[in-house]
Amino acid sequence: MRTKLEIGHREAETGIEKEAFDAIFRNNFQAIRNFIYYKSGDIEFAEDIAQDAFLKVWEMKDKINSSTVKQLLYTISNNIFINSMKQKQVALRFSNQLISNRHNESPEFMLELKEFDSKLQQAIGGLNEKNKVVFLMNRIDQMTYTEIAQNLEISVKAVEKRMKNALEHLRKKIEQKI
Amino acid sequence: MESENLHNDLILTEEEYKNSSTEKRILDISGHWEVTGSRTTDELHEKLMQRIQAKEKLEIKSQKNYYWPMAAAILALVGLFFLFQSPEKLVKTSFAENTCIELPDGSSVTLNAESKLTYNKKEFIHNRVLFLEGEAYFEVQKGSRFTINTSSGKVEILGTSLNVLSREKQFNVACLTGKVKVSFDNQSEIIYPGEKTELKDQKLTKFIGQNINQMATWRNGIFRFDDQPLIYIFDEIERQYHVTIQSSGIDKRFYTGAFTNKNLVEALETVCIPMNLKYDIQKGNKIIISEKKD
Repeated sequence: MRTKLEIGHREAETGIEKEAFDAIFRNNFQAIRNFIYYKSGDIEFAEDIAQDAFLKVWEMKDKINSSTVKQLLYTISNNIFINSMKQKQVALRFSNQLISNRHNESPEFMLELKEFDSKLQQAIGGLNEKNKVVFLMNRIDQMTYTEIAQNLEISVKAVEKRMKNALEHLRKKIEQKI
Repeated sequence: MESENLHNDLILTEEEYKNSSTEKRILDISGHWEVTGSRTTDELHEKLMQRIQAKEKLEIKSQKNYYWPMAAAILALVGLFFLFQSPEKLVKTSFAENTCIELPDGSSVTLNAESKLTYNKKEFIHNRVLFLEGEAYFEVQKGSRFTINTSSGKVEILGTSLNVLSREKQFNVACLTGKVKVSFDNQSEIIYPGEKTELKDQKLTKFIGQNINQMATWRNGIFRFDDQPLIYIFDEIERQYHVTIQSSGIDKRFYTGAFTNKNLVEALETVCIPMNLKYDIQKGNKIIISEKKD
């Protein structure tokens, strides 16, 4: 990821109206919050950084293009995160709808799912940041490889590679414990 | 690609799970993960809006001022004078901005775009003097002498409402109510409601029988000109819309009329059509105005 902030100049109309900004916020806040959460493990911190990123976007709303604002949000929030110098990475924890919403399976199966889930969440902590972020953006934020590539400004091939590496690492870790 | 299958609404049956590879299990189970926030998106949106509003109130707009080179010297002197006194209060407006303030004596001033007003906060109550650069409409409380200094001349009022315009060579004062004394060099004029003074070739010229309703209409977004060189009209359009106008050669002609600050095209039409001019709006807020050659 680039750490330098670049604003592209396009031929198309620039500028974001206030109503459009509200829509951009609602559609992207969670993804940006999650992105910083994946990197830091601190949900409140991630919410604050995400908010700061949106504030920065608001402040330059006349100069940016609505088609690239998603990328900008990722770049800005990442920059803020890096500058925050937050060293301690807390272990990530996710709720699992599969487990909390299921009631009609056998208790043995539920237990097996819980165990697997727990092992998997722990194994996530061992992933390197690049692979982890891409993996989670695909699984939790439900983004396609193309979307991830656009948002992080890397190639689709790079996304594929990181996913592959993540899965490889996770599989090894889980099979180790079995 | 397996992992591109995003929508994991499919619930794993025990059977399917048993028959899956580790990798498939990883994808399926992680596909149901969610991040739990400490606050809702709505709540955070609300907080952001509050932060934005708070910031916008505090913000002092930066000003791009054409007239600085001209007025800088005078302003510096005046500024220095005020500096040695107590707190100097400065109010200024930027492009397309209007602002209304109340002075310590209860008088009110409405500033047009790109204008600057300076007065001594502490001393004003005892000595009603201020410095104006640009254009302002004053409503002056009855009381001691009220003086408006400009780079051209001085305006003194006793319980009145008046419009003062001082930009570069322009120095126009219109009286709406009360009585106003205008001084320039060693010339001075006293004007009454419906009268105005203008500087024509360095001479303070008085005009009577003016329509008071047509004075200071800029406060309502209507900019009137009575037999003024086009360059002044173009300057005002630039200020109100924050554009640049290129108009070589034609700006010495005289214009009588008005334009609105609500619609740039309409404004250009009302000025150009009666003068047989054409306008061309280009990128970067630049407008080229030229003679219409038939």
